[in-house]
Amino acid sequence: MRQAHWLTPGLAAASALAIFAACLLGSTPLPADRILAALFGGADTGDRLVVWSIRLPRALAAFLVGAALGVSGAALQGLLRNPLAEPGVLGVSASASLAATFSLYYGLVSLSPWILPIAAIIGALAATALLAIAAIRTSSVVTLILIGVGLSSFSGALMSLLMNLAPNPFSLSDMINWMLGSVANRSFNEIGLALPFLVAGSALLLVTGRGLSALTLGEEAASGVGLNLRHQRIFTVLGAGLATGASVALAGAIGFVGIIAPHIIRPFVGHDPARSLIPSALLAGLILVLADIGVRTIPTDNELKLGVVAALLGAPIFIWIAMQRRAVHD
Amino acid sequence: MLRLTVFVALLAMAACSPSGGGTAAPTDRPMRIVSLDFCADQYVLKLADAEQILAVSPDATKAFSYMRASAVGVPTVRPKAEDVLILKPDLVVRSYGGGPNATAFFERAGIPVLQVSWATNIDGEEIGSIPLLTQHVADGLGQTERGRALVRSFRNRLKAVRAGDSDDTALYMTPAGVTTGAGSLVHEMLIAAGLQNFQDGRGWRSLPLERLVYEQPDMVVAAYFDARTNHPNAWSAAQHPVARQQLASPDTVALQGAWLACGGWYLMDALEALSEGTAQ
Repeated sequence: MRQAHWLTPGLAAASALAIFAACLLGSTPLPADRILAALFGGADTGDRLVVWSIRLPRALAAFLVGAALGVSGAALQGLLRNPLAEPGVLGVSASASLAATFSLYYGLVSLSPWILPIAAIIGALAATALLAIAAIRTSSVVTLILIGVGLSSFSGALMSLLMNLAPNPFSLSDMINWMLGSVANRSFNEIGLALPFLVAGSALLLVTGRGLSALTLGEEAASGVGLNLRHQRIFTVLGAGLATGASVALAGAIGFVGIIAPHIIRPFVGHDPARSLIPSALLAGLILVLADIGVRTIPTDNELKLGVVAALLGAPIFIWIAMQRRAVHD
Repeated sequence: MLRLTVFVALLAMAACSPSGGGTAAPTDRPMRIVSLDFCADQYVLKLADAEQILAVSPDATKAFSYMRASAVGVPTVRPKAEDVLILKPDLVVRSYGGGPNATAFFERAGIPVLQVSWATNIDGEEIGSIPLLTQHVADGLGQTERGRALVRSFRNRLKAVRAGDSDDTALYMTPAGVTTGAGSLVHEMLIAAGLQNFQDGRGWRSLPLERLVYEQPDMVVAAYFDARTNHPNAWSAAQHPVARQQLASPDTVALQGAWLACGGWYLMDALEALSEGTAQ
């Protein structure tokens, strides 16, 4: 099995470049030299504020959200041995947004700023736990995906119920934002609240990722080589739930990027789930930073939502991947 | 609820022709008036005699209704066709209530409809100025003289406000971080109060976050912050630390939602509050 050695450093460099490019964009025209000066502490206070407090946090938020979804997608795909598994498809993002919206709707967020990320993470964990229980009971990955689709629809229905009961169109639009996903106006405050969970979840996935490679042999063979299946499931579910929940707390539900990135990466890492985790995270982060640049440059009256653009690009690719599979297996 | 009503009102007004058309004859006074929404309620409660009013909308007593005190004890009706028809009104007053087909429906049923148009300017020549609108509705209610008196007092108060001109810039903002530039009644209001609008782009938009880093408005006009149901959007620019810091220091004039919703003669309360804020 070959691994392209340039892959991880290449993606990291491209991501850094994309984040810098995102810093060039904004309502105030700032030339690249002023941005560079501001980034490295020179320039005047205004420029530094614009770059460090407005543009950089937004780009970083897009990158972190993408990375969390990418690594969760790659890990879930490894665990379920299905290239269509992803937090969005499996209803994890939808449950997380539902829980976040619920906490907002009932004013729980006023108790502590930590309530929102924690609610999103509880929502994500509830969905992933349900999926994991189902995964123990059924060997059919198709059934699992269908359970995920059901979960996603149910969360969507509960979300619609909350919107139906919304007291005014402004709280309605607030709720819709959770479903559409966006990194607009994100600051280091929100990043700081989501980051601990995001890092913990991703770290858990990376540490336990090696077991996923064994799983490619099939569950029996994996147990045969000494993999504790139960632990593997619990850690992967916990890691994906934490990372996805944190990403939803930061940006709402953004779908499909967790499918696309691992799908592109897989051939370059010899279809090894463990080795696809970091490159998938980097690529998904890069995709979202680029998509957010797109969102900001497309001259529509209302800025498009990042999640909308991600779904517009991602859903057709999802269908394409699903159709490819059919051609191979049936 | 307040924002809902305003939003619905905006939608409804966008759908209606701006001129509307009162069909009630001003000579014989309508005595069974039903008002379908809280924008219409304001005029009915202000201008009509109590014995002329059959029912107002359920929103008439809400916190965002300027004439809420006068609405206490007045029967209410939801703007549903059958509920209204059964009251046998001789005049239906509406701005958005009952939906876009309501005017055609009631006219088919033989009930004249007095359309309350959306105010688009403070006291200009064109249709949609608050005095013209007030007089149009007063005529329709058979209260021409009361309308003239209300317009007179509105113009006198406006003159007093205009006397104290200043060149201060003001940034209008709502809890959701929305502001507005030229082309809205709020912009007209700021100009009429002798202020310069800090927002230079046209129409409703979100706070100019990056510009706030370099420039501060002399005054922040905080509207609707009294509305309980109005919690800020999690993605709103108003939540951003930069916006919070930059908007914490300038003088803030708080405007009540009831002064602004619908935009009638009661906008004068907002204008006077702005004018006082400038004078300080």
